[in-house]
Amino acid sequence: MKSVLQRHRWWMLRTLALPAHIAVFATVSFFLVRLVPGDPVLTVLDTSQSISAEDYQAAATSLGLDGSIWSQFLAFWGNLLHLDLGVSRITGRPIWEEIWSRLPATIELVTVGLLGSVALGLGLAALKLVTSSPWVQIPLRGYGRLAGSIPDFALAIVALVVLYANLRWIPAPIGRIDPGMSLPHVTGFPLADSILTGEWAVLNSMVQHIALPVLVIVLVHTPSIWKQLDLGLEESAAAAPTLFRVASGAARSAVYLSILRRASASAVVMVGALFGGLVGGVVVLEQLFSLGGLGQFAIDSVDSLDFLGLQGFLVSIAALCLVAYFAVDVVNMLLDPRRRPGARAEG
Amino acid sequence: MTRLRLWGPAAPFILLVLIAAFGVLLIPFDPERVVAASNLPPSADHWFGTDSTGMDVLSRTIAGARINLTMALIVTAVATSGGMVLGLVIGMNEAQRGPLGIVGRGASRAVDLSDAVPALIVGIVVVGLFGPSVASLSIALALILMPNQIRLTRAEVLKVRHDGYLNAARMAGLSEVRIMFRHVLPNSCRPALENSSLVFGISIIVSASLGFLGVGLAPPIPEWGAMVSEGVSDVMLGRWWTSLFPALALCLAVASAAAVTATLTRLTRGAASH
Repeated sequence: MKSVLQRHRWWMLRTLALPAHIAVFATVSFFLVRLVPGDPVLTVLDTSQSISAEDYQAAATSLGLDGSIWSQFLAFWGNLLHLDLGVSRITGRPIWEEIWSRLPATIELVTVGLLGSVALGLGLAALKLVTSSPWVQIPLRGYGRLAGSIPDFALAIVALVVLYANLRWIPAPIGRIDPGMSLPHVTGFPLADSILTGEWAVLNSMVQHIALPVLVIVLVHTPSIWKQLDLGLEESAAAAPTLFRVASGAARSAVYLSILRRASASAVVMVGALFGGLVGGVVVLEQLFSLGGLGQFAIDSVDSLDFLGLQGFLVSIAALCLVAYFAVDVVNMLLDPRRRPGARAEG
Repeated sequence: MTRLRLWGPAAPFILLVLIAAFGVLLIPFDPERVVAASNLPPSADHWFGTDSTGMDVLSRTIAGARINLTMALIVTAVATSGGMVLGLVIGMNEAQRGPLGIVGRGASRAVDLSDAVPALIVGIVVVGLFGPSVASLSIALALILMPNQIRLTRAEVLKVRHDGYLNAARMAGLSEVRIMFRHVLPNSCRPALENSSLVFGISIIVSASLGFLGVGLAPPIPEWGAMVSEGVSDVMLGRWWTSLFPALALCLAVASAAAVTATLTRLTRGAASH
């Protein structure tokens, strides 16, 4: 019994840390709303007329701003455990539902974009290994230097001017599908739903509409992933474990897989970080291409001064990011047992 | 020759800063006034054309350099200097026993955690809660970009913490604070300094993204992100110039900031070897 616990300690400890981390962010976002200068309750009320004490009290209660700060804090946590983030000022629906219903489309876009980045990153890494021509190496190095410094919406606008306004290769950047079509709803993930229901015309239209945003995500984020992968490959390509495999006559593919496995750790971390960053950050592209999605909710909340909406948004995004980091850590500990806590590094 | 190789990569960036500082004096038209008919394509009078209200796009693009660059400069300075000091203090104290060590280890954990929320999200939430002002945005972005700088400095501090010259300084009777700032800091500030050009680029992108989303600074002010977003509908009508030029300016600004990394690296390596 004890040995089973011992053997699985590495992922159990990491799993236990996840709710603790989320709790930290929930607490921070609770206090952030309380730091707002002035009286948030007044923003909810119609201040052009005189406000009765009852109205004020009711508004304060709906915002969770009545009673002492500690009773507010306890109430906030009680609600959070029931996934009750309050009610949106814009739609009157629970904030949790608003976020939950917008999440799949965003996650799908980000996932497709990042899969593309990983594929291109692997391709570039392979290209760099097989050729030494300066015609390839110099542009590659330049592209790598752009890691983290390509403004996605600016690139997208340049692409729109060329590909839409001049060449008409892609449809107008309004929405996920052609006007007149309707999205099937099974899981909430738009691409997956149109495949599941066999709506090929919808799928075709959707692919045309999200091709450019996905391409922009791929172009903007590949350098970060590729750079990490390249550094890792350089380190592990000629390392002792590789030499051992070559010397013991392992197949070429086994040697490559072993190098990749040891080299990929920091690239995996980068993918996780990008995923977390993009779930919120892709709002810029979603807005440009009118794709809807999670970030739209935050923008609407800003416009209507919906503090509870912003608080819920912040907690949800932080939780999502932390889940992504959690996945990254577990994947890395699976790939490389030396990364498990308590494991002793050899030699 | 070596001087050219050192400052060459930084040249576009220096030019950009000069444009941001003095460009407003050279621009042909008032960037916040209607100066001609609306929607004029680029011509000899209006090199970048005019936008849908009739303001000169060239003048606005040049004037726009100011806001984004000023904010990025503040954010980079605060995030880098604050990050170096905090990284230094955390790195020197986290292995100690007693309350200082506990605070140090806690701070180190908090730094790791605060990386979980992306800068743009923090920007959106801060604007939503505290209103769009250069001050609130700069503080928020500096705070969210600081952890990276803290981590880079801390890792370096952990490396040099046991170096012999520190013991020599201690034996010479120097105070711990003096040792930290005179001996440890100069030997551990390199990674954060090199990274500062990336911080600069990210802060330009985030501030322009907020402008693009319409949650940044108020519209009549020339700001690249807002200009791009105002021009999106023009692009669909075939008027490509209103958003293309500020978008290109933004790309060039960020790329020129990234190029400064080479200069910073050479400068700090040079300083370290002397």
